[in-house]
Amino acid sequence: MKIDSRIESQVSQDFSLRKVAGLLEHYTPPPVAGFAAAGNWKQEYSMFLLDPMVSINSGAFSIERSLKGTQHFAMTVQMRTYGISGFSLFQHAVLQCRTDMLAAPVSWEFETKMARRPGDKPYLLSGRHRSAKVSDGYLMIRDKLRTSKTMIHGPYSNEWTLLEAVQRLPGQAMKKIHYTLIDEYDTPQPDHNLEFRTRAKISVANGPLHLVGYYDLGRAVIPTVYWVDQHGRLIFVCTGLVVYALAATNGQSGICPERYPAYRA
Amino acid sequence: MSADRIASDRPDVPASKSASESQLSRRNFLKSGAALGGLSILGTSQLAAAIGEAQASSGEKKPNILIIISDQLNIDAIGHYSSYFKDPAYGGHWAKTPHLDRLAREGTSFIESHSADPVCSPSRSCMFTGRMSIETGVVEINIGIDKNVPNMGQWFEAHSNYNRVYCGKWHIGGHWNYPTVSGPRKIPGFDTMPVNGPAFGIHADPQVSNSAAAFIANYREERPYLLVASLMNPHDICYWAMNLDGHETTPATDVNDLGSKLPILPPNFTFDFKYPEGLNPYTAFHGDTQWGNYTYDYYRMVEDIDAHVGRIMDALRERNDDTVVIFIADHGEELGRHHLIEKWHPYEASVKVPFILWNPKRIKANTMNTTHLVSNVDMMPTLCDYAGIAPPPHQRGLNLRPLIEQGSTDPATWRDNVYAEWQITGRMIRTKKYKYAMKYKYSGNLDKPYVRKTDGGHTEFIQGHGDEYAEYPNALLFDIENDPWELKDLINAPGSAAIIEEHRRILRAWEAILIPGHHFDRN
Repeated sequence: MKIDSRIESQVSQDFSLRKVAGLLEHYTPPPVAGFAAAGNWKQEYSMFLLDPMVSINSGAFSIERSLKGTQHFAMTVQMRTYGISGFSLFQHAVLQCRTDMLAAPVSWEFETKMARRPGDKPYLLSGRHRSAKVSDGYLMIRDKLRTSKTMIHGPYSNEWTLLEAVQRLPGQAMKKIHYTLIDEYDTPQPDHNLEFRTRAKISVANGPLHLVGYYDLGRAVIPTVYWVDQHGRLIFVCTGLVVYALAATNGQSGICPERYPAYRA
Repeated sequence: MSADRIASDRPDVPASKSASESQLSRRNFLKSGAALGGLSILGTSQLAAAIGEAQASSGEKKPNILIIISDQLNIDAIGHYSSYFKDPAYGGHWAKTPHLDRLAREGTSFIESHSADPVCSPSRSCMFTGRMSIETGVVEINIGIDKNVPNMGQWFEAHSNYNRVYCGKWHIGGHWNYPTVSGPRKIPGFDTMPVNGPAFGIHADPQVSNSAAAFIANYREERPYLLVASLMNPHDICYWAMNLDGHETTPATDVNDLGSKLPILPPNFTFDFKYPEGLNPYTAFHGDTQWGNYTYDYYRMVEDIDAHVGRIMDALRERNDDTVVIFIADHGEELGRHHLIEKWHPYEASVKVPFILWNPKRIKANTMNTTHLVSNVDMMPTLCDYAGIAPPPHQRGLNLRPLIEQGSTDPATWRDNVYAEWQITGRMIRTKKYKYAMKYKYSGNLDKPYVRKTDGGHTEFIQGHGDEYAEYPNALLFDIENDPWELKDLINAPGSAAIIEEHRRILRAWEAILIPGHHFDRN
């Protein structure tokens, strides 16, 4: 199934937009709802896996930012990815972060479990709660019995706090940042580079979006483009077989389908 | 800026010196691995028998068993092996794998390690039964194990008190990948950690590693566990090449300016011999850059599963329990070698798999075994021995304990060859120096895949009757010792006739003992 020529011209601006081409006809971003990147807000995202024929919803997550003075903020992450037999992986984390360019987390608590519902007990010993902090050049992760230490040098971020950070980047004016990305909540992946990629204008159901794209290359990650709209909101994340699409801002929803057709040449 | 993980209060384990494996004494070529494989698994080594019997009689607590599987992982993609895979085209020069490197440093690895049938379902059926795919009936993907051939979970359930949990991709029950917690798609013999659904590693692997790590961290029962953490990546690379009708736009067409990060093409990207039947060059990628992007993305997936392995192993190290860990893959990925992608070929990239065994209390550390031929069917008899139970009958693998235990010396005898199947009717014999691969003609009928020479009729494989079935031309013979990239096919070279004859004799010896089975799909 081909998409129409209007969308065809939009997605030709950057390869990563092909991954959301089939979504654009049916997608309405949420109302801005007073969003300010440097303030307090909550964003909710739908997650998609890109099958060659159709993109399928694989879960959802929310990131919530609460200022703690001028130098720090707290981020709460809730995520659910679908498993099998009615189960999902639930992850919940609260990170204390600096308001620097990469939203570097200073300390955090995180927990995961497989369960049918968020409030259920973990299935088959799958629940785990840990805490972590970065101090004196080490990432320290504490479980019930032990603390492990991993060296971590230079600028760093976390895959979830990076979603906050890209919303405050200065666009084309930014210099490339070389940094370490903490994968999930516990595994540093060095040798990442984040930089401005391009601008793009696309049309969605309720009008145009003027997007700024940032590009991340690095260890353990398929090349990733983060698309931020004219209001400073992260609208899409496009990487390999995965898309995140903004579904709600500060409790106000847009329109985001559960599935959409894959882009076909 | 590499990360070094420090377990703050893990007991120091003295590192063994790097072992230089002794050469086997020369043996009669006809005393083949087939003959060894047909014996009871303990019959190959008095040491193994003594260990098993001592454990069983002493009531000694058996170790936990953790099997971590990666799907489609090349052995040369593990950085620790760069000292062996020196050519800059090998993966260890392009991927960073600190957690797998540590596992290999702390354990014993096999370099001459082979998949018994290098594609998902058949290989996994071999790993979890100790039988060849023609015997499990799983000769291609998306079909299930013969109901008369027990899987590891069933066998451990019947013969031990192990707590058995399966977490991740299974893919040997029928046309489905991940097991449910009940019903026909639950794996017999295992409880299921209910991860995933769609077959995407990027989605499933975080579920697998977090759940498996939590299970290990939380386990409090007295009885030992058998836990399988089956990661799917780097198998996601298959989606890069999906070409259903030519209009799909996959990540292979993503445009990335990678500069010096773009991996180089392998030396055998072009070569000068004919493919065997069923293989064709992959021509959908346009230009070296697209091949390079494909390879770049593959190595990022390798780095991702390295992180998942690290998560699981960190949880294990924090416990300091007695646990035997096996890290293994079901098959490799061609990455443009021989101008191919993916797997199910007899070439090295497809058929060689990583195989690491770890237990600081029992298994030699810092040992890279480059001389002994092993197969992923060896996993079953080895783990049965650790569990103190006899393996199922008709095991085709060998118990690896005589090669890996601390304080052990190499057994007097070991297999001289490894046998594998491929693309339903293909066969591979790997001896120390050579690899021979051939293919019987495929009838097109999965249940009667062989074609009789006499009348062209279709038939199942009858034990020992290989001589009666038609074969394709274009068999392959490589001197692996001197030609690891398999650039020069010796099948028609002067002096090869005797070598081919010997390898075919070994093939016939294998076929004489194999008991063909029938797939059973649990849908």
